[in-house]
Order: sequence, then structure tokens, then C-alpha cells
Amino acid sequence: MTKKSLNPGVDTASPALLARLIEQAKKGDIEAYQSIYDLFSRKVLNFIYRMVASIEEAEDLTQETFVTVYQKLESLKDDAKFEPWLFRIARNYVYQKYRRRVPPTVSVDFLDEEGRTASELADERKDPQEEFQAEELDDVVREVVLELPEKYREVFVLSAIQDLSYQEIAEIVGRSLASVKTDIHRARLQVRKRVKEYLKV
Amino acid sequence: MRSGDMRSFRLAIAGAVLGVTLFPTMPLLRAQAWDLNKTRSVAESQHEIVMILIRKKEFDKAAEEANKIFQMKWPEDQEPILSKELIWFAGQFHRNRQSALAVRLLETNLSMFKTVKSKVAIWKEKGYLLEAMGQHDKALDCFREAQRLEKAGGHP
Amino acid sequence: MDCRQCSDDLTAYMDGELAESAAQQLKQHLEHCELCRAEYEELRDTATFVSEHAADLEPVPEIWNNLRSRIAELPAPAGSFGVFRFLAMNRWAGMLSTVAATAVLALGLWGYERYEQSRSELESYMSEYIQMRAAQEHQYELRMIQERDNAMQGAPEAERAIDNPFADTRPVALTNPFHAEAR
Repeated sequence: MTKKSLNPGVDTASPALLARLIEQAKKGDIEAYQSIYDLFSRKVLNFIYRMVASIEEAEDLTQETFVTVYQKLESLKDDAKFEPWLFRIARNYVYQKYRRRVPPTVSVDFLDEEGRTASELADERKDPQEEFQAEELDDVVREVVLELPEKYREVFVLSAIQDLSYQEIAEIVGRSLASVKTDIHRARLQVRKRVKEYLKV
Repeated sequence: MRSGDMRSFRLAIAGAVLGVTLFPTMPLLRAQAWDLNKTRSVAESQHEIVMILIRKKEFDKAAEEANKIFQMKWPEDQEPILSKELIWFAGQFHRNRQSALAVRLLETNLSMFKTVKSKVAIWKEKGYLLEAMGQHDKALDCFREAQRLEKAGGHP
Repeated sequence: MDCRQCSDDLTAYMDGELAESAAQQLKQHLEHCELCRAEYEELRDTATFVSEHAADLEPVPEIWNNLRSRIAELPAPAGSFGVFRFLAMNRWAGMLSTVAATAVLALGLWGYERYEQSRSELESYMSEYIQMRAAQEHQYELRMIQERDNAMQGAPEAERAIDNPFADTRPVALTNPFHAEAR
């Protein structure tokens, strides 16, 4: 199962190309903005999704993010900082809408297609030698990430899944590099612990 | 590195040292540093390796091995064969539903080519693949570039 | 570097975020320390596991479509209004600008026609190649089918078509253009 798609010209863009697209989009060139959207929408959608756990809400918030980005594009002075700036806006939407939301707990929120929770799935494995299906493993990861407290979850997703640098992450969440580094480490440790428990290894 | 890796690493070093000391006994290598026939024969083996990997559906590896052919030192008169080879490999990936990889292959190796004819052929093939992938605008860009190069003529 | 320091920095090391000197020290520590090495392996395995099972959502077209209509409704970028205000105030500027606008329009239409022409030239340049390649692919497929039939009926290997124009006629490596003639 591949995480990243092989999509030439869309996966990564050189900084020069991105800067050019941004400048054109600032002048109102919607085609250019669509190219920018194509480059980043997937990353933003999945970051939001892992924070809010609902596909519908993630799609809505992604839309909001990109509308706001278009409106505020003028205020971006340094084109090289586009990605962290974009994620900051996305993150603000996540917290704005979900400030009072209780983080989903294991047994209640997460259900797979047949209405089983991840821990029930794990229990059904009577034979520990029996192999997990790939989809179930995806569910385990999704579940474990959701269990993380938001402060850890966001840095975990940004570092381990979205592959951003610690510096960029620090800019996005507005904390110091040292604090981000510690949180990422703690998040990974917790993920490791929970994954082991789920797989009963 | 684990201890097992260290051991095989040391073995590899030993092997290399042995090989180096045996060099003077090999007439081939006492000759010129670079030899077209040698390059061709290496490329021949690489070609077989790539075809085997494609048949085994190990496409990423196949692309890696294919790149090696084009990174070797070639004189300009070999470019027609090489550009055909590159386009051939890209076509193989495309037929195996690895069109994105095919485009990447062309992109990666385009810079190795100096003659206008080769570059035009590669741009056109890239355009063809992108069109097949439904990316009409990007395909047009490729053909535009090919056209531009053709018109500019003998300025590789 | 002691084990506690190492343990704190393990993730940063794995992500390539440690400074050169600290990374070197950690690396050396790992070479000597069984426990830390085991912990590092575990972290690495977890990271691999997560990235292999972090299937991404694909953005659906609706997101862009809705987004696009909302953007279209937004006011034009600031900066366009100043020109019009200036023109309204000055009569001559107004007339001149009308003349200029007409000229620009005419030029634009002519330019657009030229653009259309070159674009259709480009499109036919493109479709020429594409049709040629499509025909080639079709031929290739027919040949593959033929070869499969031959193979099923037990025809000898020599029946297999040569895929590469540079291959020589030796039975070995029929598709290989680098098989040297002078060997």
C-alpha cells in the first residue's frame, strides 16, 4: 500500500515555480491558484482529517482554508513561507471549530465499516499468528493517532505523515523548536506503545 | 549499523582491495580509462536487468537501473540509440500502467541529451504520455517545447 | 552522551533534525549501546509501520468546484479602482483612454487570432505524433496477442518479434540495442 501517489508535476514543485504561481494568483489568475490548490490540497485535507476525524468536516474546512488563503494571499510577503502559512490557516480552522470538542475516545467514536471498534478488531484475532488485513492496519494507525492529545497529534501528523521539517512545524503551531522536538518525540513514543498494544506483539 | 552489517561491509572492503591489487593483471584495464565497447557491454547487461525487473513488476527498481544506462559516459553519436532506448523503456512502463513513472524516467534523463533531435523526440514522447494520462495542458506544453526546439534548429 | 540524552534525541536523529555534531555523538553512542540501539530500531519500525498504513484521502472535485465559485464572487484585487477614478475626473483623459482602449482591443483581437492560429498549429503538431504513437501501440498489442497465440501453440522462440531496431540477429538478447556488432 503506497502512501504517496506517483503524480509527476503535482507532488512537489520547485520554489521558483511556486513563487511564480503565487504571484500570478495574487493578480487574480484563478488557473494559477488551481495549480497551487493541486499542489497542497491533499496534504491539507489529510492533516485536517487526522485532527477532526470526520471526512465531511475535513472537506469543509479544506475548502474554507483555501478560500481564506486566496483572500489573504496579498498579505503573504515571503513566497518561500507559503507552506507553513497555509498550514497555520488550516490549523486555525481546526481549533476554531473544535475548541470545545472532546477528543474522540477509543471505544465510542471510531467504528469501521461493519461497526466494529479497533479494539474489538484486535480482540477478534484469536490466533495471534493470523495476519492483519491492510485496511485494518490503516484503521489501527488512524485510531492511535486520534487517541493522541491534540497538542501531540498535530505535531505527530505534521512530522510523521506530512513530512514537514521541525522548523516549519514550529512556525505552524507557534511554539519553540525545542518544545516541538520534545512533543514529537513524546507523540512517537505514545504511538509506539499503543501500536504494540493493538497488535499484541 | 548492526554487527552483521559490519561484517559484510568488511568483506566488501576486502573484496575491493583484492580486486584493486589484481588490476595490473587485467589487460583491458591497462588500456584507456574509457572505452566505448566496454560501455556498450555494460549497457547491454543493464538493459537485460531492466527488462527482467519490468517483467517481475519491480518498476521502481527497473527505473533506477534504467537511469544508470543514461548516466554513463556516451559520445554524441550514440544519442539516437540512447534516445530510442529511453523512449522504449518509457513505453514499457506506460504499457504496464506505470505512466507516471514513465514520465519521471523521461524527465530525469532528458538533461543527458545534447542533440536537438534527441531532445525533441523525448519531449514529444513525454507529451504523448501526459495526454494519455488526461493532462492535456501539460501535454501541450511539451509539444510546444518540442516545436520550439525544432524551430530553433541546430542550437542544442 | 549518556543513555538519557540519547533517548531524548532519538526521534530528532531519526528525522534528520539533529545538528551535525550531536548526530555524530548519538551515532557513536548507538554503536556501543545495545539498549539504545534496540529502542532506535523500535522507533524506526513504528515510523515505517505508520507511514505504510497512513492511507491518504483523495481530495474530491467538489472541494475545488465550490471553492472556485466562492472565489469568483470575491471583489477584484485592489488597485484597479484608482485608474477609473482618475479618468472620470479628466475629460480629455477620458477620450484618450477610449481611443487607447479601442486600439488595445483591436491589437488584442489580432493577437488573439494569431494565438488561435499558433495554438491550432500546435494542436495538429501534437495530434500528428499522438496518432502515430497510438497506431504504434495498436500494432504492438496485436503483435503481443499474436506472440501469445504462438507460444500457446508451441511455436519456437525464434518466432518472437524483435522489439528493438538496433538489435542484431543473434538469438541472444534480441531486444538489446547495446549488443555490440563487433564482438
